[in-house]
Amino acid sequence: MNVMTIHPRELKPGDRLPALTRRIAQERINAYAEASGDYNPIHIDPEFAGKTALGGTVAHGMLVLAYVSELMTAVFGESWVRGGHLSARFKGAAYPGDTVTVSGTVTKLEGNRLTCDVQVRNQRNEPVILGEAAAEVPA
Amino acid sequence: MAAEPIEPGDLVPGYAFPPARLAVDAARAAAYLRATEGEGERFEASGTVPPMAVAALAMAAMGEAMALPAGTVHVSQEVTFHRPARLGEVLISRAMVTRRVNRGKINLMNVGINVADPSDLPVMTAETSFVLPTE
Repeated sequence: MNVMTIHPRELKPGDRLPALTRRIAQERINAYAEASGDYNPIHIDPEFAGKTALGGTVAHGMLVLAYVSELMTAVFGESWVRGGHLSARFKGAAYPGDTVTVSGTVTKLEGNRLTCDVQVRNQRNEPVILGEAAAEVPA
Repeated sequence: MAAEPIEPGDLVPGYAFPPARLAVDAARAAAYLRATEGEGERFEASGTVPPMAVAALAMAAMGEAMALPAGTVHVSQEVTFHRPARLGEVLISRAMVTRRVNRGKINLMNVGINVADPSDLPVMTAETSFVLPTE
């Protein structure tokens, strides 16, 4: 299913949202550090990060979470940026070279508001983010 | 000169961080779009930025204001978007410690964040949870 052709009015509980896949690259992590001002060396300094328990640099959790928001923007459009709600738990790290997939399943339709379980998993199907997102169905 | 970062022991429920000015400038927006790669066309055309870009700025401001020890883990995040931020806009972020649990091996801190425009109309609200290392 093409993410751009789906209309939230067509969604009902049990339906899956179109998946979104993104490759984690160090250049993108560096750009996120520049955008957010978060220059924690665990994200941008391979030598430092290599000596930690993580074993190497990892993407900012908020960068990976941004991919969830991207999927919701694609599905809900203006309704997402005006009233969308996202609740997420960070379950694992995303490393440069990883490919992460954002997926979602509609769990609830209350009035005009859709709630979806959302998750981000890496190429080994390990969870990186688990959460819930909700937005109004646009007219 | 920037104020000294707040030490974790001073971050008790009700502690309010100094309000932070968030400049939604073109350079940061461009870097954000490079990092996240997929949303440029939509937001550039509208003169707004992706909603999570505001969350990133607010988190960064909060991070600068406190001295979290190495080993602190960002464990969860809630965010509600009220309206998109426009390029060039200057927003105000107000953050407050909402919960602190420091018992045995648990050292948890929640921070609530409200980002508003100069008219004090909400742009984004969020709640962030960290687990701090125990001594």
